[in-house]
Amino acid sequence: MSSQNTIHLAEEAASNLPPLLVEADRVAATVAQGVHGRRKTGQGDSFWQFRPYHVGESTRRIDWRQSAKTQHHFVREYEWEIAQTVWLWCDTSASMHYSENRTRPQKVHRAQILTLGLASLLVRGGEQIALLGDPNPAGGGRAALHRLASILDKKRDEESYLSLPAHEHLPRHTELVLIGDFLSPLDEIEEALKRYSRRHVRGHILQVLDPAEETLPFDGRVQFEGLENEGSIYFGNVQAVREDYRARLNARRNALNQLTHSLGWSFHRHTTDHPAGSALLALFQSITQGGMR
Amino acid sequence: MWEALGHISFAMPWALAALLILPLIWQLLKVTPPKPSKIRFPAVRLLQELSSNQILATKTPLWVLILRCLIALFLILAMAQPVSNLIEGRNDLDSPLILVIDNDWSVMDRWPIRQKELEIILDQAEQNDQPVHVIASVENVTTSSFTTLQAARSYIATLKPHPWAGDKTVILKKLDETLEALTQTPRIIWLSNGLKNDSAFITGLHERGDLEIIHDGIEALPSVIADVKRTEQGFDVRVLSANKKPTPEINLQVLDDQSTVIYQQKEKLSDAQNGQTLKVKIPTELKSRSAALHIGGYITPAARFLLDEKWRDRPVGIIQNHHPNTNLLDPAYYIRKSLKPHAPIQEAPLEDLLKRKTALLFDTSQTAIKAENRAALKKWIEAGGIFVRFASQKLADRSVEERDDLSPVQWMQGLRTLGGALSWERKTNLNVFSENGPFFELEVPSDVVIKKQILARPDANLSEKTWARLQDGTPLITAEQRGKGWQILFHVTAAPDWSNLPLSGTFELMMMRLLSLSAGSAILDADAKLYPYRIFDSTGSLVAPHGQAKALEIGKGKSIQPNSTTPPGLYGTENALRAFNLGPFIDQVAPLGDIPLGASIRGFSENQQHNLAPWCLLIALILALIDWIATLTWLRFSKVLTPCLLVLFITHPAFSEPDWDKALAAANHMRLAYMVTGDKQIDETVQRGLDGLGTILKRRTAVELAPAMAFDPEKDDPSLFPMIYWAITEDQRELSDTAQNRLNQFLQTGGFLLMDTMGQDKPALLSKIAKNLQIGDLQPVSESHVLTRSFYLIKQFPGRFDFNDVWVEAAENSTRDRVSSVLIGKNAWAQAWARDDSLRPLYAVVPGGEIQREQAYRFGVNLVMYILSGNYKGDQVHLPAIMQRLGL
Repeated sequence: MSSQNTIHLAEEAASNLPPLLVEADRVAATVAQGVHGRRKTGQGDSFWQFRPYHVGESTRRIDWRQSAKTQHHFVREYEWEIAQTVWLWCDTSASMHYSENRTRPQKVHRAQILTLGLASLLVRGGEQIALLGDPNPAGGGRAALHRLASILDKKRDEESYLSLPAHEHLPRHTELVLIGDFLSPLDEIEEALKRYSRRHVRGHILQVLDPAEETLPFDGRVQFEGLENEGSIYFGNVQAVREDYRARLNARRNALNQLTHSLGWSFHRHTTDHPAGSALLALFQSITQGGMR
Repeated sequence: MWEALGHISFAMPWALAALLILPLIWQLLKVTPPKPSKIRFPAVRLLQELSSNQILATKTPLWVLILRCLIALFLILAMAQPVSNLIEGRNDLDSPLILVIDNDWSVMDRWPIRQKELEIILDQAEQNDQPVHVIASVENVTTSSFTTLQAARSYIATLKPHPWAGDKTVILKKLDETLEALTQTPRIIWLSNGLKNDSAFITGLHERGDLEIIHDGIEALPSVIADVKRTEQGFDVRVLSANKKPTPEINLQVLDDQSTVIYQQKEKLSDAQNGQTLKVKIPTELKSRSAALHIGGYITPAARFLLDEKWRDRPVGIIQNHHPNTNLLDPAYYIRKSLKPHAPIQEAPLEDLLKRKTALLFDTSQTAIKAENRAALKKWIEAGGIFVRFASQKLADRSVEERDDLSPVQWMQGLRTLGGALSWERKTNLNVFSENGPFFELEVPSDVVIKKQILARPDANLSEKTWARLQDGTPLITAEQRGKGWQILFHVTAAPDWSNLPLSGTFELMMMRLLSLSAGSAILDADAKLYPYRIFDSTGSLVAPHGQAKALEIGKGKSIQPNSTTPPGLYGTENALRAFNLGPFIDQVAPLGDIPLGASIRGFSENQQHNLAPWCLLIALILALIDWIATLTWLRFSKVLTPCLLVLFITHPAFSEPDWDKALAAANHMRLAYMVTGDKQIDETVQRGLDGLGTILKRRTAVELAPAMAFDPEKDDPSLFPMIYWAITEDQRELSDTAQNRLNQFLQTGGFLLMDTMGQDKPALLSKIAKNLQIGDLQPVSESHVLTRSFYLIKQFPGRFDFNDVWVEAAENSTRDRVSSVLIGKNAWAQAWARDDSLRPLYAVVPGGEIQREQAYRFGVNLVMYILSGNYKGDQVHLPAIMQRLGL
């Protein structure tokens, strides 16, 4: 699939949502200016209010057109606008290249769609986006989106067993979105997340699973083989272990949920038989509203 | 089916020894179960963490064992080459083979079995490498002596039975010609028709080679219609049949010219070998339509007798004395009128009529017949003519002494007037048709009134001559047979002056009966050449003639035998057809007589041998396919089957029986309910939404709701819930009638239905529902509606979305104290209310953020208050605030 096509699909998924507005409440004023009103006066493009001219101010600030209508002099004030940088990461390891049913997309495909959809929303909202692990600096606008798409496209074809983000030095108080299947051992995941959390990075985790991984819909005698050299396991009757497996998966998910909560992050799940829009919405919500904190 | 298979034998029985290894296969399969399927699976780590007691191999399922052993069994059977009805090859001879085949009229019904037998014989000849020569009894061409098998096969394929008898002497002659070329004694197989032959023929065959006779026994011999005679009542049919036991019942059918059966009669044959005459009684109307007689079940033309009388002209003559008169008072008019559709009519003076060919002559006005004409007329009657006279004034006036021998009875002078001015006798009716005459069985009309008649002079045999009489017994129609013909007198005129008989429908029927009484004039010229019109083909149907058929020269009479140039059928032109039937040329139907010593005789082989090995292989293949499919998906079958079985056995009784536990739980606490949509996700969302709303209500108001419940409109009673939340999705089914009635009852008695299209714009289902439910006129929620102030003061009703069009029943029309029973919107409130277990909202609200969610909750609170308290809050509670808002 060409990167153009992927972007198109992603934007289609994101088209039903209003432009993403990130509340950058705790973010320092060091970030670049964006289109998001801070509901107070400051530097920006959109009109905020007229206020009477005080003696001592620069006369260049007087809005002459408004002043001409009345007896007083007025100064036009603009809304203070800032932008936030959101770091995105998408798991492209071998375990993501899986789909039990041919009619359904692979997990990696869905994950990339979600990443790009989110990126598209963020860009439309005027945010800066950056891909975790990519040396290029964060950027905004369509150009950043297209660069992201081409990098993701390249990454998908690489054979990789790296199913957790490598440690990167991120600025404090940035937003981090991790999209993957999170089937690695729990202690590895915990370690990776805590590294970021210590830097006061606020994270959002989206676990993308195939429905087959939820339900284990196989029967009879099966030899299961891992996709990332985890080895294999044989069952004489898969049906008998199905319930155990589900319980195990739920326990794993609850543990992940607990972990993210303890870090103050948000956790979402998504299966590839559901439309991408719902997952995007959940992510959108937690990024805009800060989850349950 | 098994009988059809007959005996199964094995061509290679030693292969069955392999059956001994079946137990071995059984053991092997049991020990080594099939290879597991390999599946690549990302979450294999989770599986590895599972306890390992499930890892052990399960046993091979029993049905797999049985299936595979069956596959092996059928393979072994196929190797043994099973054959049904194995015919042992008669490989005793390598002498030349001569086939003599009867293909005359009698085997037309039995031809397919002969063809099969011929194939078997040729197959054997092929195995033995015998030269073959074929002689057909009714065929001009034969195979040139001892052709290849291929040529013999193609010759036999073209061989057909022919609807005439063959000449046996010709066969012997042909046989002699063939034998000249031979040095060896040939083997002769005679496929006989089973009919008796000259003993010379059989011995002739026997002398010329080793004779084997194949025939199909006495039971298969056909029955034959040898002759048909027309009678007054119907037909006399002479049937020939072999002496079968038990005596057969035949089905005599009368066919019309479309070969449709118009009449049939079942008859038992007792002794028909030399002919048995059966009487067929048939209504006259049908008799005039009949074109052939047929013995049901046979196709041979000998069992069908074509009738040609239908086409024979029966011209009617009316003696004309003066100029033709079309006046209604002309007696001839009524005769003309009634006979015109059925026969050609000529009107001429008697002299002319006698010269022409007529079958009936009518005299209406007492023509004075000259002496020479009288003699000719008598002669004509004796030859079969029918002379009908009607009374007239002239006849009545004639002197009594003058005896008229052209009349069946003599009459008294003068008229008998019934019901006249000076008579005390009343007008009288026709009473009865005598059973001597052809009018018997005609319905006696009640409306025929006789006013005048002539009276017959009493005579010893007057009553025998009478065909119809009046109520007082006076003869009205009298008749006398003279030679082959009849002379008939009507004692009234043919005009309606003496009686109204000529005006009645009975008159026409009487005229037609008279017509069918006549045998028809033998007008066919003695030596006319009749060209074939329709002839019988090899399947016994009448077809257009083929090239070989030649004209029939009738003058030679019976001396013409049906053969290839004059096949049986219809000859002549379309308007004057002459039937040429096969039946009269058949003397008797007798079974094959004595067989000379040394000739073998047998019946047909009933079944052909079948090689069953391909079938065994096919079964094995099918079983293997089943095995393959089943091992791939056998548990999925059970997955599919279980819901089906559940639907069949479990849900059906549950369908009618309400769930009492659930009803009790619903009745004990106040709960909101949601309609089951069938979409699990939606259902869960709505339930969570209602529970979320319940939490808010508990926290902020006095309403304490128990957890929400699912409501199945087909099963549950809605009256237990104050409100039912209906999330309308696209793939929902329509409600059944009972569910509709329940919901209507619910709405009528104070229930509340919240229909939420979940953001969809006018889904098709909504309009269908709205049509079926008794919902009043709708209007958007107005600014002063109670909903805007039943708890909170709100202006908008946002849910997850914020659309303005939220509809309720118009207050003016509502009969329930102006409280609406429905609310319809598309704001997906439940999604805004829904929270997960950790009380986090499940769905983002659009576009507005948490304030919109709070508004959604407030709407929910207002709604529940509205439902519970009706328009109670419509009064003064908020008046100060409302006044303030209005700026007063």
